[in-house]
Amino acid sequence: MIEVDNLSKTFKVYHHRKGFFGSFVNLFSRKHRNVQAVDRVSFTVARGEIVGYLGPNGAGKSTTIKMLTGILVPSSGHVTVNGYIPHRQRKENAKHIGVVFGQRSHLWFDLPVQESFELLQRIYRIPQAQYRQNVEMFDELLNLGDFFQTPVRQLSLGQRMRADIAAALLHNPDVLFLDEPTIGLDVVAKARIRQFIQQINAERQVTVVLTTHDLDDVERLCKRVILIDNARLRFDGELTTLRRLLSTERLLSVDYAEVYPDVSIPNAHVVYQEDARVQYRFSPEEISAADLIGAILKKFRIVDVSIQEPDIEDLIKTVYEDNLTLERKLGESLSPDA
Amino acid sequence: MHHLSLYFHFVKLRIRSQMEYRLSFVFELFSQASISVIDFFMIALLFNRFKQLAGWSLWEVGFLYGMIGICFALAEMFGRGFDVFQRSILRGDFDTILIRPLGTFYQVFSHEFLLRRLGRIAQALVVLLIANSQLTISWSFTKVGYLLISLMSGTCFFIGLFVIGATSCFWTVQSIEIINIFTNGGVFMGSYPFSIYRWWFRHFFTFVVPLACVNYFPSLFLLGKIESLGASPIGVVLAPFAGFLFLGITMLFWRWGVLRYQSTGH
Amino acid sequence: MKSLYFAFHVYLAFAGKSFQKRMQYRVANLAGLTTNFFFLLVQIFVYTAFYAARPGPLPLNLDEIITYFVLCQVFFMVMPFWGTSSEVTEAIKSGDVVLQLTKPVDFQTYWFADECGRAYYYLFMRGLPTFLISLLFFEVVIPQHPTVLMAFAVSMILSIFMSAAITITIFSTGFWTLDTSGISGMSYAIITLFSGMLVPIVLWPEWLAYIARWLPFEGLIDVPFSIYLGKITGIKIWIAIGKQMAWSLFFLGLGRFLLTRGFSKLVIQGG
Repeated sequence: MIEVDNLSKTFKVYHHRKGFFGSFVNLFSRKHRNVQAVDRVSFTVARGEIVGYLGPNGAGKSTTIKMLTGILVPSSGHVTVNGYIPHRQRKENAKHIGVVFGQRSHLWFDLPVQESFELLQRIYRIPQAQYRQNVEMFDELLNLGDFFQTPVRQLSLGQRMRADIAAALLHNPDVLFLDEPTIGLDVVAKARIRQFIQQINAERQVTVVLTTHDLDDVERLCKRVILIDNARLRFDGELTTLRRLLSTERLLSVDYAEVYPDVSIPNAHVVYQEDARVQYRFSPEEISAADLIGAILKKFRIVDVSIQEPDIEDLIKTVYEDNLTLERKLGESLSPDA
Repeated sequence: MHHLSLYFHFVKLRIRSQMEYRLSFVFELFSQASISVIDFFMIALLFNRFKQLAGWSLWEVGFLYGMIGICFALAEMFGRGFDVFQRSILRGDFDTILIRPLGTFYQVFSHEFLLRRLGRIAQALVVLLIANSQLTISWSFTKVGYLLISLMSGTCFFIGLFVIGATSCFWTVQSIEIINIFTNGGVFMGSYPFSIYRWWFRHFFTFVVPLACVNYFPSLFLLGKIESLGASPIGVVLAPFAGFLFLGITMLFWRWGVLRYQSTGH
Repeated sequence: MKSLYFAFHVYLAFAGKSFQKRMQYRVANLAGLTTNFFFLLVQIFVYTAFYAARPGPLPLNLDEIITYFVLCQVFFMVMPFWGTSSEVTEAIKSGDVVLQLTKPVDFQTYWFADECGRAYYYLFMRGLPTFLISLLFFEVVIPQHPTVLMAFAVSMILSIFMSAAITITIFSTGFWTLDTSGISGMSYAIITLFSGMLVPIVLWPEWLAYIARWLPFEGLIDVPFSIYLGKITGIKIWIAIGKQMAWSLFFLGLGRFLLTRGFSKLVIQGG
């Protein structure tokens, strides 16, 4: 469905000369340096897969998505989506993909959602029956009816995102690109969108490429993840493999009933202590959360306790900061497709 | 056909959203017209003082003025998408255009339509009509057709200038405002007969930026001034096509520029 | 007296900031400079052709006319209809301007200073280069008498003050209409006509020139330039400058009135 082979993108960043004379010179010759945004990235995605495309800010996620959607022309390498080369066969490709950017709406700002949809129906030449069927289905799953007549500029972030995702699917695309679809949304809205993506994927075999910062998104939706950092591909494989590879440490915060002088517990490291509040770092491989809490309860009286899951940022950070470890482990245990 | 009906749909939506602010719409229509009325009023004042300009009477100049005014206002009305392209590229709207299964030029062209330029068109048309009533032009079927083609050509010429300005946005966010020289400046200088300008100025605005071809030469033909100025009749008849050619070249430039689009943020 | 000193201090600070803010748009300024020069060139072609046809007695000779239009381009961006800082208009539109009431600085003083800073920026960074380049290419008349130059300088500063005061008056209407483009378009038309920017008032027919003399806008362009060209002399200079001052105060007062009403509307109706 999607084939990416040795894909690279280099941006020219122009250096601006200062001063009045400098700005004049700028008009005629400009110095630039090259910034490598994507560097020889290769992967393939099969029909019906949901792939999490992850990486820190500025890693090259959006640039890759933009090359897959035909927005940017690659500097080198090959891409095909549905057999089309996106930047050369942009219009053909566009008919078969759906794109959502979390940061910005693709709908018409001053038009009500319904009219935006009708406009898309005309643009994509969607047959009336298909259009009606899709709108009904999306309305059922996403409750579009609540705001179907509201101009896009007046929608809440969650409503706007629902409208945008529905809009991207009106023409029954084979591939759906989602760039940070849950950014800034509350828990309920996130859950609703995840569920929708899952359902569409299951029912229609829509291939989904998803970039996100939210580990929950990845855990609920993706079996497979691709990690990139500094423009290069770092990991491509099952999420469970990644989890296993990284000793994912967690944090346990405890509010004690009184201030104890020595709060140490075996197999857990105190990372923070102030008055009666203590934070432990522990690795589930060494001690389970239940055992740890049990051990604490034996020794001290507590008021409150909470466990923090590492979020994707932290997880990824470990990968990048500890690149050597990861690569070593990858070498030891990884399946050949990685 | 699909493109055409979609275009009308876009225009309909644009007009409707502009009519939402009816009062400000009427206000601006009025202020637009008053600005251009004053423009022509000033030319009239000068003729009141000086009587003639290089052998041209007030209403002959009015004819030039009306033609160029109509063309520019039409270009602003239809080519608005390119005129404000800098703003939309900064907002990232061009990404959206690229994910739609339609041509980029077509989309930028059809996304905007500035209805309020009607005020200016009306004013320029009135000047043109008055000029016509004061002059004795023997209108024939050919001449009317020629005038219409010239007006279309002039509109294409100005849209072409907007396209150049828009294309430059692919490289520099500070859109080259130099293009204002040719648009606003073009209207200003196109309101006077070209014979008053120096030769290098005339040649530049005939062969490089073909302003003279869409306005001055057609007027020479329509006002029956060809012989008096010794211009080549064949050149004069063919001149208006320069506007269409100009737009065509700028469209190629646009296509070339789109491939160099770097999007925002990566 | 102390509060006047304070206001002046604030004025200088904000005007300086406004000036600096614009320093970053140099490329745009260069483009603007070229545009100014282009219009100037066309105007000179037009008047040269007009003068070539009719050599009879005229109130201004060709060199004087050319000088007049050089000065017009120097002053072009100082004119009141170019809009004002988008921050201010946006703040008025959204009602956020009401936050200004919490600041220790009078809003009109701030706005006035911001406008003057803008005007001085364009005068020095665009006007002055236009003038210097014009000296190379055209027969620009230079006044020989130092008193004329001094009177011109005073009249020029008053023109800037008046322009700032008119700008505030125009854009204060933003408190009542969301879209000021209509009213600024109308004032554009009126001001370009009656300031004498398109055609010097001395070349106008008698009846129209008479109207212009009773309106404030000649003080923006025609008055300072006529002083420069030595067409206003002696005691008449003082009368002209006095009129400029009176009109400036008038617009400052009108602006103050509109701002006060606008603010009280915001405070009472909550925008």
